[in-house]
Amino acid sequence: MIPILAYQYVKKRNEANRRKMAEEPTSNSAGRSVMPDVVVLRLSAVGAKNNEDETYVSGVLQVVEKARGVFIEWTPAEDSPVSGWVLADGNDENALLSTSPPQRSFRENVNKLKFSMDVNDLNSFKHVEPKKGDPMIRLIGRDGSSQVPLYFRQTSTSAFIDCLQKYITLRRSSKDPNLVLVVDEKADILAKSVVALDNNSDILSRFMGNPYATAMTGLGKITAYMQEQVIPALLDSDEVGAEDKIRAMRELRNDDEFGDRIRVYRGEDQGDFEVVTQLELPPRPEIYRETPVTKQIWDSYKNPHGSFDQRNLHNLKMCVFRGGVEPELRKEAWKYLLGYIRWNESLAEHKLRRQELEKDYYRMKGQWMSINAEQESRFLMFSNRKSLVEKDVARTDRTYKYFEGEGNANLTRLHDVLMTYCMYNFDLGYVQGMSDFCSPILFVLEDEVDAFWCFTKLMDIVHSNFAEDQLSIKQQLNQLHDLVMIVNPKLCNYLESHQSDDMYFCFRWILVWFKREFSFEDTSKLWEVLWTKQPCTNFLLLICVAILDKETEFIIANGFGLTEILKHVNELSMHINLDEVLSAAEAIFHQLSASQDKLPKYVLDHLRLSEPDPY
Amino acid sequence: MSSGPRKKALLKVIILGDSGVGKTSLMNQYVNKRFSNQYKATIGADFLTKDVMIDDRLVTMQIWDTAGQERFQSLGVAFYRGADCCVLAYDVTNSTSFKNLDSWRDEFLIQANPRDPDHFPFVLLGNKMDLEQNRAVSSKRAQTWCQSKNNIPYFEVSAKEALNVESAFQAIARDALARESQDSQDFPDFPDQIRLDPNQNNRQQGGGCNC
Repeated sequence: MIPILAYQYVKKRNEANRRKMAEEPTSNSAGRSVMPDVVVLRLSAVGAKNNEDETYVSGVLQVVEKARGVFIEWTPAEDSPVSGWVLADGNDENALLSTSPPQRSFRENVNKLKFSMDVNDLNSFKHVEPKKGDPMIRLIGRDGSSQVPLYFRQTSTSAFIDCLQKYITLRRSSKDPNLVLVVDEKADILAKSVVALDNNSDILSRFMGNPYATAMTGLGKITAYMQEQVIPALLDSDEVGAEDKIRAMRELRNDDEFGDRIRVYRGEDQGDFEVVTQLELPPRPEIYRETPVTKQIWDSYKNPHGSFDQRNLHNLKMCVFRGGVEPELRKEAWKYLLGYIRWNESLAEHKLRRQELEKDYYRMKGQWMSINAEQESRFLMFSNRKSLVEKDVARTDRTYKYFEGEGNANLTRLHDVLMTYCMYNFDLGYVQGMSDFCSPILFVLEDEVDAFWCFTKLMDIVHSNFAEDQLSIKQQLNQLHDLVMIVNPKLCNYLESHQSDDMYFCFRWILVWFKREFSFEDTSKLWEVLWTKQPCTNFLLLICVAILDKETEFIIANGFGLTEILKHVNELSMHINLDEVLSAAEAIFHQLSASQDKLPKYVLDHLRLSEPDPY
Repeated sequence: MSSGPRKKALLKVIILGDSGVGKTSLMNQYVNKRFSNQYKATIGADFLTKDVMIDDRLVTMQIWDTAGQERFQSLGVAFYRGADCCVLAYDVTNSTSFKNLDSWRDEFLIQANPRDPDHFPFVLLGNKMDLEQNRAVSSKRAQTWCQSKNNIPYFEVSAKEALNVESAFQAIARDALARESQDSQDFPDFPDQIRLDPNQNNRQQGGGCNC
């Protein structure tokens, strides 16, 4: 009831304000109202983290009552915090243009962080209060979007949270202690009505009796309604005490009849229920990442002529898998990991072969370069490809120094490598996403010829991602679904009941191997780890599983649906801790590997666990 | 008496068009009032939301941005469904992007499968008017095409210069809203009440939802 009173109070005060201020002119952005904004709370030491460059920007957090509603707003400190928020209007633009370019891009970056959010659009927030360091709050919208993380410098978050509670009801999630949910009144009333049900009624009472067990095991597919409304209501409600939950779970272990009952539902041919045999995986082992392979370690595996001894290769690859390689070593190591230089090839042999490859590269480069405008006018397919490459090169990683600025020679190289690839593999040509694969290769290899041949090797691995029919991507998404079903059936059930079991929200991850989700440095590390093909061929999928596994409680507690899941997953970009994810993925691999005899054949096939080490 | 969110209409708008015509830029210019020539090629799908007032009604626009290369369309079709308006975008300096409009329109109608395809609201945006000196498609040609498609509204805009973007999206919102009010029965905002009768059999325990 408190929020309602607060709302009415605010409404009354707003009305009073409106009467009082009716005569005053105002430049309110709503335009149709003369009500001025009222700043209810102002905290001036709240910093935001810019995840692109890991910097913190100090700023001001405000709660403002406006004609259109109550807004939570954060502005960088240098900015005028009270006015001009909603739209960076024409004047702002002019101001930006008048400053010198480096300042402008800094300004742009800082301005990108500011936000204004209607409290009614708030779905939840992450609230982390570490023992050391500043408490953090990250607001999550109803559409699944996340605002920038806010760090409360030398100040507690309580004033802000107290202020929010004047407008909305908040409750800490019982599943994720760092998550605070905005309680939807309708759902809350529903929860109470469900809890008030008589025990012997029907399936609802089964959920009452065995909420955790029912939610997390037996039912493969239940309706979104059940999952969104009923189960959370029961799991989260205070009416089902912790003791009852523990008792219910104990009872379930001895409850053989439970499984039979589930099958009965399916026997009625409802289609809503499906039996899922849940496989209990062994506990997830603790995995630690190691330091990157140094030049010294790398060289210690070499024979005097520069080739690698086949017998030690597995060890070396495991070292790369566990820690990646040092950045200075990349230029050399990538040539081997991608198979451009063969492991058993001496440096002299490679030098000889490279001469041929260089000639071959310039031969193919000459092919497209010799097509003049007049010829191009009758060669639509070529012309289309060329314009696609040009468009994409102009917008590939331009924020990185290596590709920055107009007329950058590295952009020309990227363009030439991609165009030459079109001649090398004319059937495939250029497809969007390829420039994402090519840019780190060029950055690391520097040399155009080496970069081209390494790129062709990488494309040998991922070319099917770009096929016209997109079959390979669909297949990988299906495989991912199967793996999530084994590793985290609870999440899998949730996704199924929210029309998300096609796993489309992981499309970008798979298409360009997380290139859009990590920094250049982390992407490089991730790729070299994957190129070792250790500990299994499809480790990429286990990385997807590990990230989703970590997001499970967050997704479910927020009640995200199809669109919100996509938004949330898109916004994980640049917020994923690579080492953590690699450790988790490896741990999941060990869990699966230890259960090989119990896993369905198709799951083993997905990971190619049944195949011997390719080396 | 509710302290929950006010009931806002949700308008789902899909932007389609060739790669590089400026779909992401148009969306960002409208929602965030920003332009950057550093947007990457869109992979997969993403959306932005914006609250707008349309004739005294507060509506939430959910604007979907998609990849421009055709082969990537088939996977994301789940997001086309329930669209209230489809924005077709082309680049006024690129005649191929104009020629492909027909196939984008057809593709949308096939995938989204709206109930009344002949009257489904489309809007055409000719982007990059800031480069008018390089213009390859005349206004007249674009208008003729629009007339042939049941009078699709047409706007010439520049995401870079924020030219006409606001008014174009206002029109898009209006068109979408008109459809939304016709079709409101498509989107019930709350599931049926739960049936509490203990005598009812298991069949109805899903609460009437057949997802």
